[in-house]
Amino acid sequence: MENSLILQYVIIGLIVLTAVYAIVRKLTKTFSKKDNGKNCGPDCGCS
Amino acid sequence: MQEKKQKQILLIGNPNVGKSTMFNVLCNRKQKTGNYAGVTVASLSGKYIYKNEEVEVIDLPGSYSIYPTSEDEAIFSRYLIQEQESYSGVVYIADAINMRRSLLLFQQIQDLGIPAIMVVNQIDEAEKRGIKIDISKLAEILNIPVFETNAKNNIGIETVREAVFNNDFKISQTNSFEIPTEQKALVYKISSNTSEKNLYKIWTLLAADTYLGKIENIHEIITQEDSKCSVPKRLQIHETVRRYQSIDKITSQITEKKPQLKELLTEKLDKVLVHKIWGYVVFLLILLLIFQSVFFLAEYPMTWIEDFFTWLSEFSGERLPEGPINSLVSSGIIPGIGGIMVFAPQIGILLYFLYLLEDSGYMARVVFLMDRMLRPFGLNGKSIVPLVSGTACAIPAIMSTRNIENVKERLITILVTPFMTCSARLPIYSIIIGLIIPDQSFYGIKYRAIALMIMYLIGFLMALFSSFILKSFIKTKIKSFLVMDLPTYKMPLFGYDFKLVLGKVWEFISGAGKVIFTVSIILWALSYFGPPQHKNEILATESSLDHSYLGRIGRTMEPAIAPLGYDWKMGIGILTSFAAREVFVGTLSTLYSLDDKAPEGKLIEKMRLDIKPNGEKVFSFATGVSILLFYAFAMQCISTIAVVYRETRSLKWTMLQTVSMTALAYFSALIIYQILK
Repeated sequence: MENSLILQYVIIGLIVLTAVYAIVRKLTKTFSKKDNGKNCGPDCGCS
Repeated sequence: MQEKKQKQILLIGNPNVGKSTMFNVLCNRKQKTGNYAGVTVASLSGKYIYKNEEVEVIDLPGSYSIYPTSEDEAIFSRYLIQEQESYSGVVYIADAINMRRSLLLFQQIQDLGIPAIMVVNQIDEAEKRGIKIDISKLAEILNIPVFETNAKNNIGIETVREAVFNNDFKISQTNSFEIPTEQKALVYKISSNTSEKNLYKIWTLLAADTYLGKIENIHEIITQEDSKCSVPKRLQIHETVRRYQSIDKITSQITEKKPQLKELLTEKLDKVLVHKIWGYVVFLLILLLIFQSVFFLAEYPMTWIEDFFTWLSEFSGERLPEGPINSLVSSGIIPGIGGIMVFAPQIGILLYFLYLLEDSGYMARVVFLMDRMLRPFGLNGKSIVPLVSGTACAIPAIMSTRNIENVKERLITILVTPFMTCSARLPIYSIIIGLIIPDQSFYGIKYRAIALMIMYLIGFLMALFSSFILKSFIKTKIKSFLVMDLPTYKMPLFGYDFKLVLGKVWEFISGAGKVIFTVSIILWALSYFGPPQHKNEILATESSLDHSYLGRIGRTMEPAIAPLGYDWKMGIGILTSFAAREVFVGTLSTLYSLDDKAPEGKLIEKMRLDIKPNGEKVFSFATGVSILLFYAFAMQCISTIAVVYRETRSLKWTMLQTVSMTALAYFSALIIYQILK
């Protein structure tokens, strides 16, 4: 296999892993009890 | 260099007096405002700098009194009383049209010993009604600085900034409410046993149903015997009656009302717009006009966006070196993002019309019309506001249920609001309606616009039906009722709303774009790679779509979705759109782009020409209607699920809602397909 192709597969592997990580992070963040947005208060949601 | 000073102020007033408009003008922000009560249900903060002083402005939800009756009012009261040390003063916004009501909350704030200035807003509207307010007399009576403003037209704002800079906030030296004799002894007892010396603050503690202030050892001081003679609601009524007696004296001194000879435009319009028959006819016509515009006005920009992404995909396919990266970019990411971006103009047009209607004051009439119609379904009163705002997005709509004081009614509203057709359903409805409904008109009205309106009505009727069913399970003894002002009609701020829509469309593009970007990478990887075909292979690369991992997953789930008329590509679309509904279209765009067998052209053409192995159309009329019904009822939005969980604080109700909506979607789609096929 050509070196450039191997490099492409390595890059692809990293991109796919990042995408999977991003989705998992988004899911955990969405369902976390703590509000992560700006101006969040215990009773007043986030602005 | 001079050091920058810092200060915090609160914006306070009754609902719909223009607090959010004032907040936007002061802080140069684009916070959503509306010409009806309850737009702000959470505190918002912004900043501005004036003469090297940084001022943090907190916009609290509107309230009529210091005593909370709902969660959004509780936010207001708690912040006002508990955080008194953190702010310099209160900018109290009074409504020139209704000074009597504005003064009730203002007196309470003064009696709490909170430093304040008063801003009388909507003077121009009051003058139109023949109401003249003597500002200097008002300032003299209240013994605080009072200013006139017209926040909408940026008049008087600099004076307010100057007053805030000069710390013109004043604390009242006298109390306008005298504590009744029956409670005086108890109030003095608490005062002598605690560090709290403000007698009215102690009174609010007795008169509020919930604990508002911070007084240590309060439960040890108030014995059971003491609380016997203090029924909170009675104390509140007593206070309100007494206050209005003194307020009436003030308003008679400051207000001059000329007899109104001419009928106001608002009154003329309301004769038709809230009429028991014509009101509904006009509302349906307005809806039809909006949906007609969604198809008609968006046609050209949608074509431009689609052409741009097709060009970009071809361009990157030609320029990038051969290999997986070329395939990922030109057949995975670009078609995926393009597939969803193409609907941005339609969403923008829909939201623009909704904002114009809100701004003009018409939305308040819609709430009034709905209230009358929906009472038999158990969705009376305050539930209507979240339902109406759910047509834009379910998330803020669910948050706005905070102003429903009855917990059970609030729960029912939260559970049924996701049935309302939000803007994320629009891309799916638009593409499927485009596939199954011909582009023809009936007396100038597009059949597609009528079909879109029917979809909105189906969502609305399902919300009604579900609340009717839920009403019999979640029984509520106390009914909440809606008390709202019908605001005067105002000319909408076309330019401001346009800017607001641009912001919302960007929010949609960046929000949906991020999701579809990551989803399309994973979809591409699953379609590019497949199980090994030969012994010495770890993975098969450049597999045909049918033999890829994605194809395998799709084929595995096909038996479950085939009775609904869907092929495996649609199944994958449904799976990915659990993240957000609009991802369905992005997914199909990626999948058709990756499929070598798919015909060339735009996504809708590829979908139209796609055929099953038996020669039947993949997107037949029956399949199209089945998809439409599925998405009308399915809870395909992770963010909404999270908000429901956050607002109900109940995993049981969140799960029940998600599972039942999905089951309803599945079986409705199944039945309709089996009937129509």
